[in-house]
Amino acid sequence: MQKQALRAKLRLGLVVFAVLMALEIAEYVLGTAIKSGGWLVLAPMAIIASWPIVRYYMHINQIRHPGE
Amino acid sequence: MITMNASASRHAAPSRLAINRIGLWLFILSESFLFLALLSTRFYLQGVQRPPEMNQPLGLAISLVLLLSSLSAYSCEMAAAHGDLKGFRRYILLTISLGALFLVGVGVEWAEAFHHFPPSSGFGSIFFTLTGVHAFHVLSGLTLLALVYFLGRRGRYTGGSYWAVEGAAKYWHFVDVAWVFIYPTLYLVS
Repeated sequence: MQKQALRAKLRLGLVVFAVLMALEIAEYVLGTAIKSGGWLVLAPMAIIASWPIVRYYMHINQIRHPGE
Repeated sequence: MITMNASASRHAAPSRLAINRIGLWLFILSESFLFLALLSTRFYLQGVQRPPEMNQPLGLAISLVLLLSSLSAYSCEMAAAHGDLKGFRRYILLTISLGALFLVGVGVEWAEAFHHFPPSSGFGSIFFTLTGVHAFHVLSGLTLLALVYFLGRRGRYTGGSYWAVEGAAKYWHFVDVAWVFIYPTLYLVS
């Protein structure tokens, strides 16, 4: 039971990492392709990329729900 | 009386953990203001100008290394939370190795940057300050992780008590979040 729960958590971590990696690569492609005004795309992408880390890796929800 | 004390300590443990977490989040919040100030300095002093010599592929590579280290830090915390001490040791060593690899990448970047935009130039002063402050955070995170690793080897994190692991992992993720904003600001915005 404990091992299954751990496996599920590790799988979640992998999914988050895959999303983050895709976002970073997309950022790189857009950042090198767009010659001007790139920050309009890159700033929202950085905010979007930071959210999964704060939500799933840093467990920000634990502040409101300590048992999570 | 003994029953009351036992009951009180049972209730004290979760609230102490909650206080620890809030304290760490406040610390992270205060640290994020430092990075926010440095990031805004980049736009205030240089606008969106970027030297063409910036090594963008290397920037992407070290970003992916740091993201991978965040995954291993998360796995390390989860392993400690579920009592898998072997997994905890394996993942924390992987996190430390990836963090060290990131620092090597920053070192290579610095060696190149010294030739193209030295610290005395406008962009150079921003570049070296931002990456330097961040690298110092990485270094302090590595020290913290190494300390947690040695304590873990002595069997400190057993029986569901792993706050130090959680705290070190959270700090490490914060260093990653800071880089998520530093990377496009320095390497991609133009």
